[in-house]
Amino acid sequence: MDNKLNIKQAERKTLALSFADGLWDILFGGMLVLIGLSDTFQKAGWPVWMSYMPWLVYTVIGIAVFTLLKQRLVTPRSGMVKISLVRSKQRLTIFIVAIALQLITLVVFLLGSSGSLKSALSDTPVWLVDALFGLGVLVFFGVMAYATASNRFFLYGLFMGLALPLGVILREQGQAVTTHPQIAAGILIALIGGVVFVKFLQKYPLPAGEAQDGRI
Amino acid sequence: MAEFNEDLHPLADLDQVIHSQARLMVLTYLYVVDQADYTFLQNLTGLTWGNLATHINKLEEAGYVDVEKKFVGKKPHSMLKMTKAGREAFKAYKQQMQSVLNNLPD
Repeated sequence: MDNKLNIKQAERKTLALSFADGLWDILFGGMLVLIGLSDTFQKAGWPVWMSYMPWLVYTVIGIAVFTLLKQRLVTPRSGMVKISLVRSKQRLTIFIVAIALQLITLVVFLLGSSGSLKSALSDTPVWLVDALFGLGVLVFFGVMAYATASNRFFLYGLFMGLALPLGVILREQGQAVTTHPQIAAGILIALIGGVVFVKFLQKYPLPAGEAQDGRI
Repeated sequence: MAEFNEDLHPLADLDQVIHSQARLMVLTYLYVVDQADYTFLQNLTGLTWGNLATHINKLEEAGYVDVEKKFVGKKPHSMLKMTKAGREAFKAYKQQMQSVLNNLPD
């Protein structure tokens, strides 16, 4: 039995169990890989909008598969919980603000990549845009780690934090494709998510469940 | 005659329903969430199913926990929620214990 009855620790353990399955990691890692590959597709002559289609299709299918796996495999093992919005208000607010900022940063990054913001940002050094995006990513993962009480998100922030400047260095060196570090980070995150998922299935076997008459 | 520490009186008034390691653990986790099911609590507390059920029954009898029984598909599924009385009792217990521990001699 766990003898630590600190309320804050109880809160952290509750949140951590909700994100212990690794499915978010697999979903996000795959998204990173496909966003990185969009650069390769564009260099191969694909129109910008088409280069992001694999990412969009993966995201839509991925979320559907994610939801199904959560319902069929994860929740029966981890159990069901409704997190208190009142108690988690601070975490939730920070999480929502971080998501909103990250979405804004992503939109700016995508518009910048496609050249739509070229005239607006013509005087802005490219490395500055990348640095700001990288900072946004680091903040986002730090917030995810705090909000979900899952320390591995700090590691993902580190992967992304290394991938983005490496991409800038590759660009400065005149490399054709500069998103290989990002793709590598995505693969690492998805792989870690896969390992976490397998360990989760091993650690939390299916319980016998409640008897038909309501007894457990 | 030994000096009697009046600050230790709260020990005598401790809520015996809550003053059990297992039930205290269950209430601690229910305190930080809105609702949870048996599986979630079992994963967090490490109690056996039978043990958990026994303690949940005691808490339900005391009016500290509500057990909402329903069916998910064809399987029975119960969600547990701390009642208002349970939250008040838990807060009072926490304050009593803190007071007792703070006033313990070195």
